[in-house]
Amino acid sequence: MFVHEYQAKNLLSRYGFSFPSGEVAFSADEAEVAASRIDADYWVVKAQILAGDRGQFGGVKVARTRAEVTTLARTLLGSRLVTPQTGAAGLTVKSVYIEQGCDTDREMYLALLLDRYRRELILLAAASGGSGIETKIDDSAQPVHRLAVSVDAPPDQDNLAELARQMNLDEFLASEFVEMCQQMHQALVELDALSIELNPLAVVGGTKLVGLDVKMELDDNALYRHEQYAELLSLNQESDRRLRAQSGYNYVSLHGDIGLLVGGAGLALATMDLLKLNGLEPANFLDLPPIASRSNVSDACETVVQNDSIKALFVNVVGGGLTHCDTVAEGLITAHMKSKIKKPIIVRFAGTKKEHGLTLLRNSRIPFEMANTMQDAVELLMKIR
Amino acid sequence: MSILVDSNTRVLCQGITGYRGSFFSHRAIEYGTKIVGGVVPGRGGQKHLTLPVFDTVSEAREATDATASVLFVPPHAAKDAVIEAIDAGVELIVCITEGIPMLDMLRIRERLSESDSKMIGPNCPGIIAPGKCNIGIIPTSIYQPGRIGVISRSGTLFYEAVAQLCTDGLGQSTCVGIGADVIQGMAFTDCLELFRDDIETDAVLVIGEIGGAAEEDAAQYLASENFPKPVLGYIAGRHAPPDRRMGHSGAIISAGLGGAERKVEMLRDAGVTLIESPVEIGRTVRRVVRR
Repeated sequence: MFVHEYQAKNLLSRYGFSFPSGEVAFSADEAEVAASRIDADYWVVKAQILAGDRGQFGGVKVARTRAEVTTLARTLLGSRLVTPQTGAAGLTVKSVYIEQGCDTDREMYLALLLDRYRRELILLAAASGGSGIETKIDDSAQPVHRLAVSVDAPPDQDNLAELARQMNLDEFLASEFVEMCQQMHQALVELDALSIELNPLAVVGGTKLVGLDVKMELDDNALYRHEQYAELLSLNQESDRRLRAQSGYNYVSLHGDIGLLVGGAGLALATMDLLKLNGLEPANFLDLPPIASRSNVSDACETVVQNDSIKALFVNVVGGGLTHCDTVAEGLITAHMKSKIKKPIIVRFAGTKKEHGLTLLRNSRIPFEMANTMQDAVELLMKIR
Repeated sequence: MSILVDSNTRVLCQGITGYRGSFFSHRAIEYGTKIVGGVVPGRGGQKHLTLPVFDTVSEAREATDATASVLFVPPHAAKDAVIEAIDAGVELIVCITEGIPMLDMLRIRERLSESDSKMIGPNCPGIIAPGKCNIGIIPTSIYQPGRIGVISRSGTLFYEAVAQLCTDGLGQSTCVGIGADVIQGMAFTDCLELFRDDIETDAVLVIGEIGGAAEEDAAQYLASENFPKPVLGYIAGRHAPPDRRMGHSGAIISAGLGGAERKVEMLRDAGVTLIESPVEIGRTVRRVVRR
């Protein structure tokens, strides 16, 4: 789960990081109150969306007066922000963060995260920060330094000092930097975060390291041991494109016209590939939870068919260890009885309880079309088109 | 021969009294797997499915000479349960549990790397040597004994692929469902090393998917190894939409890893026969093996 900048700063503040003082606002009135409480020469009004590159795409504005804060907040709130990280549809701005403006001497990059490819925690640091940092990796003049760290042992002091040297920091700032890396490690482990990215990390007034922006991702699997995340989850749910419904299935909407309901992510990906190879376009990605109940299947089915642009629904299930074809059949029949699906439904069953599942479908008198293999199913779909 | 397990493998079930632990242990016993006992803290001394239940893995090991353990424990108990199995010297740990916190998985990996234990999973179907031993939740009816080794990240696509192999008359020596989580125990490369030396395996089928770098690692291994057996691969997700990003760290660490095209290209360069369509898996393996 990604969290908003203001939420991340809030979670991290008790670990000793310094951030400019700021307040979140959900309305222009709240923004006005926030600005009145923040003492500053100028203010920054930042759209809170769960995507980056806001700065270059109109999501971060500077206000010279308190009145201007209110005006800018009013413009940003409710608007749709499109950045390279949001996808073409963009994201709606539901809150803004009003922050004390802050002149910087220098801007750097610092992140601690789980490297999904090398399967370890790494600190990433670069002497200059900002957007587009990833394109600078191969630039030997602006290298990104990496340091692998353990989960339970604090990062080695000497290694951190060496990292600080590579960042060209004076002695005073170097020791601040080392301390900040340690705080970051403690925060990541205690908060069960998967990444904490300070970008830019600024030098302010020659002596202070200040995080101007933070991106943070928390581990969904660890939500159970952090009660305080329940509130974040409910606040951020709507803005998440990847809608993980209560029933646990993964649904991502796409632009085609074949609705998909598949058991298992791998088979769902393969099914999408097979459609594309045959010139068909999936309307969605959907994989059922590993242990799917009848109501999971029924809910998933209704979600898929709610999309008016679909011409047919393709159900592809290989009955496996935990989800059997007969349960899926019952779910499909339930969904059909509830919402009278008018689109053709092509069902391909294989594996555990296939025969029983097919019998249930046949006895339901609902006109399901059965296919024996994925190839047969695709041929049926091509005819419908 | 098979890899990792055979008809003599003695298996413990951690969490045997739970619904899933009980159901799948029963099925494994029916298949002929030597399930020799269960471990449930606080339930030591009881019997379940006629098997002895122990409080700890080390007691169970001592009493049963088990060499493998399968875990059906809840996510919050998984780290301690796996580490207990490692400390007790269990050679093969099969972790079915889904949803283990990532930092716990890093902690488990750190401990695994200091030990001789191997772990399959988490969030995986398990392992089967058809006709000999089945550990996990694999639907056994699909699988037939034979000479193809199979390694898969996905579960249901694994079953689909094996069903196709059987339709095309190809049985399997060992099938390993390694799971698709970000942080896992055994990866493709670890299994390929074992299949290389297995005299009952003629060819290996690798079922990969987008994300992570397990396929890229496997390609590097195969290229450096001059692998002596045919390897075939199918990569799911070549037409998947790009995942959402937030911030820049993801792009920095991935440096081009994880995408389907790069995986396909690297595997092809390493001599792997790439299967283009998910309906051509069985047919393609047969063509390559019969050549």
